Amino acid sequence: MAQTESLLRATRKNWPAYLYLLPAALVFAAFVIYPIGRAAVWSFTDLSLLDPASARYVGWDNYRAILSDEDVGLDPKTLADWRSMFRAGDDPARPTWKRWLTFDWPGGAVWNTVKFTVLFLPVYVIIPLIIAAMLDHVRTGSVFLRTVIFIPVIISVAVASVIWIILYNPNYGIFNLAIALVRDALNWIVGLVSTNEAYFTFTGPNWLGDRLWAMPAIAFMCFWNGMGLNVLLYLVGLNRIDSELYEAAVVDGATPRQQFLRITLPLLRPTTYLVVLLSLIGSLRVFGQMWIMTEGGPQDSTVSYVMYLYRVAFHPTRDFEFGYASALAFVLAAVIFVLTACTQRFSRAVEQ
Amino acid sequence: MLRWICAIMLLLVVAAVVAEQYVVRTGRTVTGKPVVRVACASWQMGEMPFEPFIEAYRQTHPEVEVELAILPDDSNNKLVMLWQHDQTPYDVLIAYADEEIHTFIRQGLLADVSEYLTPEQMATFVPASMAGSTVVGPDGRPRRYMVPFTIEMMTLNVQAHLLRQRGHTKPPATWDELRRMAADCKGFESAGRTVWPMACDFGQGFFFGQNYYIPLLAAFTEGHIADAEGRLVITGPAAERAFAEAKQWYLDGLVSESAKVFEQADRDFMAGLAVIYPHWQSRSAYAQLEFPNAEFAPWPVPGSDVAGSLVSCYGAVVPKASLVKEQAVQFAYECLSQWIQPAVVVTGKMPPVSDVYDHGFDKSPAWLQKLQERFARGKPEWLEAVEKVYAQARLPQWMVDLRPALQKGYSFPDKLMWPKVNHELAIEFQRYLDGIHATPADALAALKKSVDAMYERRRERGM
Amino acid sequence: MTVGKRPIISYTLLIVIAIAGIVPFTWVIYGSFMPRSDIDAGRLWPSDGTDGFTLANYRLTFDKLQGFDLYYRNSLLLAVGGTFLVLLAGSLAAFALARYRFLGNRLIFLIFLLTIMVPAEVTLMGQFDLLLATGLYSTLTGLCLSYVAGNLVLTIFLMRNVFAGIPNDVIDAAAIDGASRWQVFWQVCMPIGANGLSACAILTFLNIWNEFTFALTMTVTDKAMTLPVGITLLQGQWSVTHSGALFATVMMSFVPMALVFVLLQKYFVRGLTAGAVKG
Repeated sequence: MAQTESLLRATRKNWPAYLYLLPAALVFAAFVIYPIGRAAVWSFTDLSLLDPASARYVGWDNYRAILSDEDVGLDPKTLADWRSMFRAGDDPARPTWKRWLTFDWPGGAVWNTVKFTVLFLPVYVIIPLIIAAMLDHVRTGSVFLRTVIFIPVIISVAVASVIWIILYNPNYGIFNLAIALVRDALNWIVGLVSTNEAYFTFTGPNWLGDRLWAMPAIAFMCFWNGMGLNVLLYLVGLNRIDSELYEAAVVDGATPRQQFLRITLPLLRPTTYLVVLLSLIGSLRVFGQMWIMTEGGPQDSTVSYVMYLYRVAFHPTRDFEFGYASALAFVLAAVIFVLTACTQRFSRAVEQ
Repeated sequence: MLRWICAIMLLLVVAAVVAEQYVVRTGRTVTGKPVVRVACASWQMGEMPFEPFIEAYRQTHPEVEVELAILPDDSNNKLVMLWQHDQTPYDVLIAYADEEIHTFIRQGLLADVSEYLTPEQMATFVPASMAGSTVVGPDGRPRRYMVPFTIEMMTLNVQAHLLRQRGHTKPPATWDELRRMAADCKGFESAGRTVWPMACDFGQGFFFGQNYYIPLLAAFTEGHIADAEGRLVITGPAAERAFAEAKQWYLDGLVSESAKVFEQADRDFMAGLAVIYPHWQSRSAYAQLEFPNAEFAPWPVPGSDVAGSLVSCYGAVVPKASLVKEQAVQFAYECLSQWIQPAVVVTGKMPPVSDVYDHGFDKSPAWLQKLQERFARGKPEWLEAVEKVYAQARLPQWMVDLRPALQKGYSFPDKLMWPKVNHELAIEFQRYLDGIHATPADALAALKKSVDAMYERRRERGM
Repeated sequence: MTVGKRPIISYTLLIVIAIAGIVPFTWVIYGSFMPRSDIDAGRLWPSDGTDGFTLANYRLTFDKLQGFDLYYRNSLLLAVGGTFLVLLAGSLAAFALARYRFLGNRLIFLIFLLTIMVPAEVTLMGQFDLLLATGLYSTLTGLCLSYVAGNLVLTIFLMRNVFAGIPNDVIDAAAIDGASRWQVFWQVCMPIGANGLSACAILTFLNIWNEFTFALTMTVTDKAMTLPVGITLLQGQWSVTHSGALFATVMMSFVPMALVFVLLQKYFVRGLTAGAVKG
């Protein structure tokens, strides 16, 4: 009671604070809260903006449709395909272990996004940490190196996609040229001892044109594009660790490796948590790269969840189905919310 | 100090907002002249000299103002939203006369241009150019929703000089003959890069369906590519043969791996790295500009003598929401369908007006002469640009030769569903190419299933 | 920092990584001066019979790509204006949230935070409809407001931490000198928060300059289009990509961002360290 009273008194005294909040709150309410509310309503209708007058309330139908939409991948048929991934497959050309290894997973926007996350997240979280640790280790010149490493981050998704389309060209993109060079060198070596001129005939894969390579190729591009940011975030976290701790450890005779494991990693936990969370949310929302580089890729294998959402809402191959798209958007929001809550709880438990 | 900076910045922002809103909401020039706002696709801007000709139009029609803008692909759906709210940022939209505009037509968002043109003016257009944009109303009267601007035909774009080296000088009469021709063309090179016999769009996107499947199908069905209900044929021996033929090119090593990459075939042909490229005839013209010493030519597609040619027409549509429809249609007819045609021809696109094929270009039309007289002293840059276009105005022989094909043109069946069907078509073909479907029949059966489901969903929505 | 010897391994690895990171990019700089057919063929040197190294691509971009300077201007206006508005509104709000008790303080902050988890795509359609209804569709004003709304949270979060960390004595001293809340904000808090503000400024500028999805959806006239959308105009279903012009455009769109970053980058790191990364 006394608490509320003092709060009310404080409010009366501090009422101008509301004015300070006003500009931000107004814009936010109009452009964030209102659309979210609107989308929530839409997700319960069959609204198609091509024919807005005929929108009807359909209850949970849109959400149910998500579970039977083959393009999403949560439908019975795809799930059955998943079950077969855990048994010995009946197709000799595509044995189960090979399917797991080459990421030849059942299709659907959800699974494409999961595939992307699995390919992208570990690399995106771990390697920048190592790089940041190395940067921290070499004191001189680290600012310059840090800037250079950060440059790919400045390049927008649109620009980066355009660059990498050419890099990934199957005939003369830089990667396949390098692979061809290696092959020719090996053949030359073999040619010194045998008469077989073309012993090795391997070529680089068709990065963006092969159903199985397209998503890994895009994941690597995303890694290149955003890695610098994580390096910077880790660096900031490393900077906040008191150097006295390290000096004390050296006095105690700790090796650099022990220092890293016992001091750096534990104290870096908040930063790591932030990096993992941001990277996870980012990878669930990936869209622009696929749109520009492969437009859903060979046989829709690079259609991420958000790309599918965008297609449903805005692309000529669908009917501007805002109702269904809203439902898709909320499911994604729910998943992100759950993941955030889980990571939060996990991090808190670990800190204990 | 900081406060003053912020205050000034804030004032600047507010001023910018007010200025923008004023321009956007009034939409007229300061003097109250009607403004015709023209929007065209980005790729057209690169190749056609719109600005000089629009300036010429402004000078000869002082009672209107004309503005030009570029639109990215897939913008048309957003325009639909605006038109439904009875707003329009453009009065003339240069669009593709098929599925793009038929969504608009169906919702009654476009103006009937024949209401603003005389019968004589309408009669100047080549028959094939109106096919994609004419809808017969319930009263039996045809409504024309587009003023045609350029025509593109499906052709075989070839590097004629390379084919000649292997002894081929005439277009192939059948697709089998094409395959043999292509097989003869292995082994060419260009500055360290392999030149492949064929370039094909086997990847994701719209090209496979429209530039490969349909012409193949048309040849094998002698033009009957639509079934009784007006839908595209996707079952039966002809359809299976089309799939098998396309895959055979890949199996025979006639096509590079890059065929599977989204939109890569175009780039390969543009770099001179393919001998034969089945595509719109403009591709030869583009490539010719890059390699003046080579000889690029568009050849008729096998089977087009019987089935006719796949024709796609680009033209100007005018939304009903426009407040200046009369002026917009007049602009489209005069400036686009008449004046700028010599420049259109240079880009490899064909004129939509029949007179040109019979009589060629009038190198010094009356309107140009009047402008030259007016600006006799101090000729402005735009006038020089226009004159340059007309000095070089000539109709290539191959366009005159292709003219008979324009009497018998066809377009995609069931235009409203075409983007969706096309999308699935490309995916199922890729699966067949990869061996996921063992036979064409399997691939087409899977295709039929998804297409039928699409039609069902459409029917449920009452569309 | 871990103390140890032999940074040589680290140096080598770092240099390799740094080079690998910018190689694709230097190739774009280099290629933008090459003839288009050679870029398409992936050559590293112009082939015989072409014009060799030229400025043709840049000329083409400015001549033929009508509107390129327009996209540039739009992106610049949006990035500068949007960043300014975000910083202003965000720090005002952060000030109120950090230093004053009032009803709803924690609730409002919580709402701001929760929206981080809601992906922007949820708001995409609603904003589309809102802008259409208010006649702000395909205008810079509308897009700017959308960007401000999308970038507020980061600034509020960061600056709130900064402001909350200001020792009370400093504020009290100013109050004793007769400063009102308004003056405290401008003369005490803002200078102290300068590092945090520059970090927010860079991040917001980066976000707005590079943003693609919303610009693509919310604009349909080139008077309102931004650079990322403009770059995709050079590709398209019915066009044949002119790789040379594309590279030139890519180069030109990258330069301002690089400048901003190079000039402000030390404040950036300082700002992030000061402001936020707490548990």
